[in-house]
Amino acid sequence: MITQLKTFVFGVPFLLPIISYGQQKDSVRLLQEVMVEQSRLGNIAISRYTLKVDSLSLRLSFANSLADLLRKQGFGHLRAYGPGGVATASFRGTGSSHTAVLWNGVNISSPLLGLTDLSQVPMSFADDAVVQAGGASSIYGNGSIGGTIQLNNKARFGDGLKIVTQLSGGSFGTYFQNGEIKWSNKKFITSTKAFVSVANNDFEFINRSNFPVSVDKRTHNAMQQVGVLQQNYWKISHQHLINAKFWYQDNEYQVPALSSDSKPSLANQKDVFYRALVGWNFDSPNFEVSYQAAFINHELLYADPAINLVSKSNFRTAIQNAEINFLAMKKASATAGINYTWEEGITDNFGQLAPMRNRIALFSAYKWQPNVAWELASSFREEWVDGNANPIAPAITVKYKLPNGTSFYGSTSNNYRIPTFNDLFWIGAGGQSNPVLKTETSHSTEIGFAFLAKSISSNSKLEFKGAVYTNSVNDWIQWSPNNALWSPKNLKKVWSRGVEVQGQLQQSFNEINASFSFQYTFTKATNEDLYNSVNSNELHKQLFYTPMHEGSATVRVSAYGYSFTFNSSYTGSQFTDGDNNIFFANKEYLISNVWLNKTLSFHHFTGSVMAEVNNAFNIEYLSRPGYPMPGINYKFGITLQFNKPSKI
Amino acid sequence: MIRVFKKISFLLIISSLLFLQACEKTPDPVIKTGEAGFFIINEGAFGKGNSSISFYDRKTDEVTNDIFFKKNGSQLGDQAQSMTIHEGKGYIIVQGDKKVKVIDPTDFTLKKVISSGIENPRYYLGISASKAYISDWGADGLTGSVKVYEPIRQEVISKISTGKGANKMLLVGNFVYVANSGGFGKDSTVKVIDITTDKIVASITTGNNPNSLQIDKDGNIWVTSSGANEYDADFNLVEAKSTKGSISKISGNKEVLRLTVDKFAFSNVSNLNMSVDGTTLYYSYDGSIYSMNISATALPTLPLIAKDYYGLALDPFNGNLIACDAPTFTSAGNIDVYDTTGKLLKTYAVGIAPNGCSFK
Repeated sequence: MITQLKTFVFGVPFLLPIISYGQQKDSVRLLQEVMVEQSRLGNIAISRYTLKVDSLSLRLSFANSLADLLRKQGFGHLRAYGPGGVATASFRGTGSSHTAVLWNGVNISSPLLGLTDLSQVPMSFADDAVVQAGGASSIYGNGSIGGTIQLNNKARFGDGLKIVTQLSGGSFGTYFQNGEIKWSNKKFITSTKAFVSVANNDFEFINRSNFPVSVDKRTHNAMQQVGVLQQNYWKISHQHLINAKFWYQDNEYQVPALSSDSKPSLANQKDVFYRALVGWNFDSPNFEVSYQAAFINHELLYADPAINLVSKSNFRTAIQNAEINFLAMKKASATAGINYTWEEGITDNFGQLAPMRNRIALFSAYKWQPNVAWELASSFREEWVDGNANPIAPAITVKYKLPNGTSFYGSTSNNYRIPTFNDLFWIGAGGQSNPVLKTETSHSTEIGFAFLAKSISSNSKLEFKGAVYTNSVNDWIQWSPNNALWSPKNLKKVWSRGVEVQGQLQQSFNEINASFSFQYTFTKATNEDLYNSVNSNELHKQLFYTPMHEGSATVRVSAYGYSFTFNSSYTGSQFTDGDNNIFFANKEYLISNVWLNKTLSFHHFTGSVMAEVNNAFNIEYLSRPGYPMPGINYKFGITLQFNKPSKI
Repeated sequence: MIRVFKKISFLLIISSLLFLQACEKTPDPVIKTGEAGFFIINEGAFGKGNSSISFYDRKTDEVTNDIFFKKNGSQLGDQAQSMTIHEGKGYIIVQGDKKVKVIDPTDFTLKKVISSGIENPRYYLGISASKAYISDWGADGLTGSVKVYEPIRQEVISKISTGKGANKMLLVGNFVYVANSGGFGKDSTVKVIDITTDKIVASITTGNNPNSLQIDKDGNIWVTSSGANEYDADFNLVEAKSTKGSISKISGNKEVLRLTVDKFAFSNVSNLNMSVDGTTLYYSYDGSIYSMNISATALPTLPLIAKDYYGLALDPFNGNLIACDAPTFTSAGNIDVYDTTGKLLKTYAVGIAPNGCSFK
């Protein structure tokens, strides 16, 4: 019983390959403008409660992964196996597979597990990151139940030659280097970015499972990443634009043992992927057409020499997306599109079978602004998987704006998540997939407001936003044992509800800019129905790895090219089992970080030097039981940029 | 001076008498094993580090959960496999952490953590005040052994290679029988170790993957074997290469009877227990619990309890069956207490994935 279980369980939590399938558009738009921006769907939606990473925080995070950034910002709840380990995000009490991660509009989650490992998303490859909590983004389709993370690349024509290099190094053998060469005139942009990231993560921690308690060094915890992002844009005429992007990345991890384990782990994981994207845009006064094709190949190798385990898996996804954007209407805009996604999975655990599926989705969005006060947006998406229709995913948002800028909105939507390849096809080693799983569906409603007050005379700005939501997920898929055999079932109904608030105050005095911002989330997510499960213990209990309280606060002062940022993020106590047993709860933690940055400029050169102190108060904490996080640690970085504007 | 000396001598004599008296073993009133109650080992979910120990107090008829954490303020660890009381100490095998945690079975205080010489431990068997055996699968799950443990020095002093997946052990006179359950591979032997020399003196072939053993009233040893399922690449059972589960009877270090179940099953013959009088066997098979008299010549066709349990123990104090229910590995399970006729007497909530009991 144990043998089979072990092999199986080894297989599941660490097999977190990322392959992308995407049903979303990548659209290059605003052809008349200098800036090329991706992903148009956002323009058809009404802005709701979003968390936007500000540009300075993004710049300061150049050496970080998206996981590190979200951890520090306290956006949503980051679930991670220690620093550098597999990390996923959970929003509004939903599961790790309930967040759609989009790169230039292409959904990059794995069809095997429905997850995206955020530790494999380097921030140096994203020019913009937007976190949209809640289900109102249901036009993005599969997996957008809890929210979406949108990573976009932006490019500017007519910039000339730009060369950027960034270097950073710090505690525990952390080293990062990034380089970019970009050239653009009014017709072409070509940009190549490459990075190397290495960390030993062999920090000291207090090992409370030892007797007597001892200070140990984390072992077998290193990671190494190498990646390249190549982008090209060509404006053929004032109506036609084509672009091509290619992202390659190699990620190697040592998979550490639980800190309580008396023997070091020997397990390793290697993820190698590439994501290629080509697009064409046609722009006319009355409509825009865009077409994108993406191909993704992702290979994962997990090996544990201690038990002679080698597990390989490979996924391929091909996405084609076409959409038309109608611009002729005065007070309205509309989009209609079609997406075709083909995906395939190859792994020993699917037996001889190399499952593939064809997914076709139709979507449409409409936005109406009858006057300055009112906005109404609606959208729907209907997806067929191998000819079988999924529940339709509609969304409606209404917004009312007062003359003073304060706005209120209400939004309601239905979302869905289709079962993963593992859910449907896994066989062997104690697990048995379930080919008759239903698609998870959810219904969510939220209301919110945004208050904005600006005083030009006193150079100050105050912003305050809030949202209250309710979201219920039906047919939630979970693996559970039956007669020693684990299999996935549509096991439960989960109801999550909560409150989110954020605020920012900015004040300038001559050359000095100061800001204070905070955000807080309250999340209650409970099992409301366990269908035919025999264990009723979990009914009405908070989902595990879902803290009720989370938040962060940031103070920043900038003057004369210097900036000082102090940030604290709080993660409340979280249960780690379905009974909400307090003895197994992961304790709350408040972690503070400090950044110092100085920008420099000299002729064609600009740059900055940066120093970072993480966990400044040396707080002892675990990201989850058995996975300690480092105490106080340091990082230093330098950015150098050479820019010679184009004369063409 | 002399008087002083005399006085000191007198005191010395008195105190040494007292000391001797204290050392002398006072004959205990006969306490039956399990009279005080029993510990429930909650294995927890693999890789989650959420194993725990519960204690059933027979006087109050109540179960207290998380006794290890409550007393010591730290987690027991990852995947508690078993617990054995030996010479006044409780030895908890924490397989996932490759540790043996030694507690005081009265107040549950952690006394010692043993990890040196331990690879992938399963069960502890007390042999004498100065010797115990710990079965161990080996780091790769294929090089099973029995570790010779010295309880006074609290150290593993040597190891005896036994076969794949060294699992449950049984002490009979000067010999220990070790069931090689296959570990991550396949085995079909029960090895016999002479406790005076720590050497293997016999190897008994049984059905594939023998996992647990018991002795009956006549001194015969019974062994449950889970069989071995071989699958093709599509996880279809290859019957020609697979073997079914079985129960073997061993007499004179030879298998004298093997009763084989009639179908291949994923959850196979295991969890062998013996009634207090040594006449009835209880075991798990294919999602049910069966009972069989030692004189039977065929396996029973109808289960005693038609429910899937993760573990099974027999209460030596009253002969009841304690069936460990692990409905999910994400939340707490139960123990169901049955009488020997299979009638459910009472259910107690315990920890995550209970797999067995240790009687106090």
